[in-house]
This record gives sequence, structure tokens and C-alpha cells, in this order.
Amino acid sequence: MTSQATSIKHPGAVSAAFQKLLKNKLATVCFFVLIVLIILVAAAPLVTPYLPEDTDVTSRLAPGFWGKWSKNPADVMKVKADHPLGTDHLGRDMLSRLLYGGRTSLLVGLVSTGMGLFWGVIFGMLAGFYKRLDNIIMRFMDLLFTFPGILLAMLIVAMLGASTFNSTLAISIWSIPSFARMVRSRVLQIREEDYVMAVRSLGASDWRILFHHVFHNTLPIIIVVATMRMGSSLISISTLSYLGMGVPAPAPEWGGLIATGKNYLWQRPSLIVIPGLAVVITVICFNILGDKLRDILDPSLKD
Amino acid sequence: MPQTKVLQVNNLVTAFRINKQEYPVLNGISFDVAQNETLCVVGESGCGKSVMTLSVMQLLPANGSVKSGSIKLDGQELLGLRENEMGQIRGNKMGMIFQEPMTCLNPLLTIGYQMTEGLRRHDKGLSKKEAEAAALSYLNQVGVSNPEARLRQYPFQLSGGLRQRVMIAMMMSMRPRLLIADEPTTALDVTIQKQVLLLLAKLKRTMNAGILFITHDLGVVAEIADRVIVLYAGRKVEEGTVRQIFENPQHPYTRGLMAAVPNIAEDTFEIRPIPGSLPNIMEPVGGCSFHPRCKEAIARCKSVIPPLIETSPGHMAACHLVGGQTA
Repeated sequence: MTSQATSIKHPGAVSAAFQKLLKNKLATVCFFVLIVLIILVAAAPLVTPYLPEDTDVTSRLAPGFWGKWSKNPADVMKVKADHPLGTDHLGRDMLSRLLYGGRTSLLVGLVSTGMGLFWGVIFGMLAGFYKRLDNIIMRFMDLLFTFPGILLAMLIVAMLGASTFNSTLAISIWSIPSFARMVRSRVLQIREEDYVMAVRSLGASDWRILFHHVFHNTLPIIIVVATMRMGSSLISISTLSYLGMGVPAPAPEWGGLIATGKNYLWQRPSLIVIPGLAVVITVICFNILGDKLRDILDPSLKD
Repeated sequence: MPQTKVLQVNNLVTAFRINKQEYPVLNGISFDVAQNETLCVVGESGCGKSVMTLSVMQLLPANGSVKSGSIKLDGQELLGLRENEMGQIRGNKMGMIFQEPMTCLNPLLTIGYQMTEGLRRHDKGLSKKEAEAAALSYLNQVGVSNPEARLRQYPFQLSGGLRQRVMIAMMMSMRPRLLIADEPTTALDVTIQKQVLLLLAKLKRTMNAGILFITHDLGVVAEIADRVIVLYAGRKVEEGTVRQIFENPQHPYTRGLMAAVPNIAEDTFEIRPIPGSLPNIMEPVGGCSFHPRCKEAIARCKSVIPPLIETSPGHMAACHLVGGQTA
């Protein structure tokens, strides 16, 4: 009986959407790239023996595995099997820095998206549902929107000081209005639906209508916005770190890696190419995934 | 025999606010519904039928409000109640069935979830299991086949008739004293329509409830009504038992409505509409609001609003021409 009871509660829509997603080749590839990335990053200590801050003065600015084919004999000499992606100017293993840095980047992206989502959804639902709150909330959101995103985040970091927590906070505050806007516009539609009137006529309270009926119907749009937002949050934290306003050195972060690597652009371009590629690939995957999710979730699900 | 009145509405005035100005949509409507009685409200689109039900439920859109009058449910005055008190009454004491069954269920939640949600709110002590069992029995009562499977289905997997039955079952599970049905059969095909009407009639008897039934389908009225009120432009123009209204309509508007129904027995099979259309609520008509369309209108109709005159016991009409009161 319990299994029956739970089966009533869970909408099958999520798994149905997932099945549809897997039918799309591009989206499937992106999905699995992200899964692999997350596994690698989570299992970093198993992949690489070095910690990201471990220095190896005997092997500085070493090339990665590709150095074996280098025309420069000095490079070929420097290649070490346990530094598959080479080392930076302090002899720190690039693979470790990339993976541990990915932890920070993804975590900051996830947490800031989550926080932005939480407040954005609450503000958006209240603004969409209660006409008298609409103006107050949305004008405040407009205020946040008037700042170019990264500028707002920089302003907040400049006020609070550069730290991982503060930059996460800054990015989440910047994320709130995009969630709030999307959710509000959806709630405005849902509020007028017959079934909202119907549950109201059955005596449901506002609270119940908002969180049981309206919220469920905003989920598709929330999933889409959140996925897209992950990409922008990742870019933001990398940008902030690159500018020295995000994750403080020496802790690794993709943007920070590019910042240190740029000084050795001509000697060892891989130092910026590799973290750069990591950012680009991850963000593209999140964006494509979000885009395909929108195709799947947005127009349908009504029937 | 005097029956207990479930719903008593007195002199109800509901107005809508358009561009900062109030326009009355209902102009002092009074009626009541007794236990085990079906009161049908007829009238053309826009005459205020739906606004009337929404006023009773107090679910008017944000720009509409009840200005004066009284609405009593089982003797309890509803006007002036706070929203959370009203929430207790909606569902518990009165339930509503809507016109469009296709959109009245939340598309993302299973039938079972939506049914048990209401039941458990209604009766806080009910466990999930008990609520499900109750939902099953109600689905059985409204004649839904294979109810166990239905509980696990989503609204899009159900046909219109089934959804309307589910809506009825949901409302029924609240055991309301008053059932408000706002054109519940308009969106259904004729065979399903008949079944739903029979179901409502059965419900009324078993629950001893009153039904307020809104429709513009006179065939449905003849089928289900005990008494009928005819609305025109926010006023009650005629009231009587279903017999009185059908056999001896007094108001020219009611007669027009009757005449507009094509008679299948006639050879010509002609539709005779009432010429013209309802007055715009923003430009109210003086006197009897029907006079611009009325073939029998006299001078007085243009200036004086006709009062309701009782022509025979229980039969009232608001027209200067009835009751020998010619000018």
C-alpha cells in the first residue's frame, strides 16, 4: 500500500521528460559530459596523487603528455608521467589544480544557482500571485537588473571583501531577478487557470494553492532557468576569480588558473588553454542542456 | 410544504470596477434554494449568471465585489466573512462544478492526489490510506469505471466526461449542503450530458442538498429543474416552478427564449432569435432593460423599472404588462 501511496504523489512528468531528453543526441552527449565531469571532480583524490597546492620545484612549467612530440628537446626532457597535464610556474600539478578547481567552480555555480533559485522562486511566486506585492517586488528586481551582471557581483564583493563565500553570495543575488521574472510570468498565467479556481472552490487556502498547485506547474520553467543559470554562474565565478575578486589564491579555481597562466602565455599556453576549455565545455553543455530542456518542458506538459 | 432553505440570497448587488468606475452587473437579485431542490438559472450569455455563482462563492475576480445584499447559507451570513472563514465554507458547505472539465484539474497531479488532498483537508484525522479508500468509493458512486487505475492517472489520460465525473466526485466527497453547477454539461456531448444530469439528480437526493444550476440550455432545464429563475441584464425577470415557466411564461423575454428553441416536431425547423443583444453594462438602459428588444414594449417601459409581480402562487414576473397592470 505504501508503494501505491507514493506512486500517487510523484508526477511521472520528470521521468517522461528525461526519456525525451535521451532521445536527443546532442543533449545526451552534454548530459554525459557533465556527469563524467562531476564524477572526475568528485573523485579527484583518486585520479591524481597530488594536492592542488603541492609544489614540485624540480619540475616547473612542465608540458603535459603532448610534450613527448615536441620539437624542443628541453620540453621532451621535462615531460613527467605523473603530471599528465603538466605543471605551472611553481611546479603545481595542473591536473590536480584543474580537478580541485572544478570542484570549487561547480560548487559555487551550484550553490549560487540554488540560492538564487530559492529566493527568485519565492519572490516570483509572491509577485505573480499577489497583485499588491507585484509592483514592490518586481521594481526591486528591475533595480537589480539595471546593473550589468558582473558589475553587480563585483560591487557586492568589493563591499564585503573577496572570499569564496562572498562571491557565491554575489552571484546568487545576481541570479535572483532572472528566476523571479520567469516564475512570476508563469504564475500570472497559472493564477488564471480554471483548476486554481476549482481548488479554491473546494476550500483550499492561498498557501496550499501556491505551494501545491502553482509551484508544481512552474517546475518545468524553473528547471530550464536553473540549468541555463548554472552556465552563467560558472562564467561569473571564473570571471570574478580571474579578476582576483573570487576564490582567493592559492586555492585553485578555473578563472584563477587562467589568471596565473596568462603570465606564461608564450612559454606554456596549455596553462590557460586547459582551464579555458574546461570552462567553455562545461558552460556549453549546461546551455545546450537547458535549451533542449526548454524544448521538451515548455510547450508540452499541458497535456 | 415548507422546506428548509439552504441558500437565501437577498437583494444582491455585485459591481465591477472598470477604469475606476463601478458598473453594477447584478442589480438586486433575490432567490433561495431549498433542500433537495434544483433551482435553474437561465439567461443569455452575459446576463450575470456566472457572476451570481461567483458572488455566492465569493470567488469574484479582483475587480468585482458584492456591494450590498445578503447571502445566507443554512442561515449563516456569508458576506463580511474573512477569507479564511470563507475557505472553511467553500468545499465544506458548498461546492462548485465548473463549465470546462478539461481545465479544472491540475494537469501535473494525479487524480488520486487531487482527490485525497481535499478529503484530508476536510477531515484532518484521515490517513492517506483512508482518504484513498474514500476517494475510491466516491469515484465508484459517480460511475467511474476502474477507479483504482484512475487514481493513479493524470487528467490528460481522462476524457471530458470522466473529468467532469471526477470533479463531481471531488465536490461530493466534501458533502456540501449546496451544490453550484455552472453550466456543467455545456462542454460535454449529449449522451454524457444526460448521464451527468442523472448523476446530479441522484446526488441531490442522497445528500439532501440544494442545487443551483446555471445553464442556457432549456432542454436541460426541463430535465433537471424544480424551479427556474430567468435573468436579464443583472435582474431577475421571472421566477416560477419549471411547469409555470414552460407552460405559462409571463415575461416577453422568457417567451422569446422559449420561442428561440427550434421545435423538432415542426416542419419548418426555424430558429427564431430574439433580435438585438444585451445592453452594455457601461451604458445602462433606463426603465426595463429589455425594452429596446421587446416587441410589446409600451411607453412606461422606457422610464419605470417594472417590479416583480406575483401572477400565481410562486410565479413572479417583472413586466408592466403582467397581472392586468396595463398602463
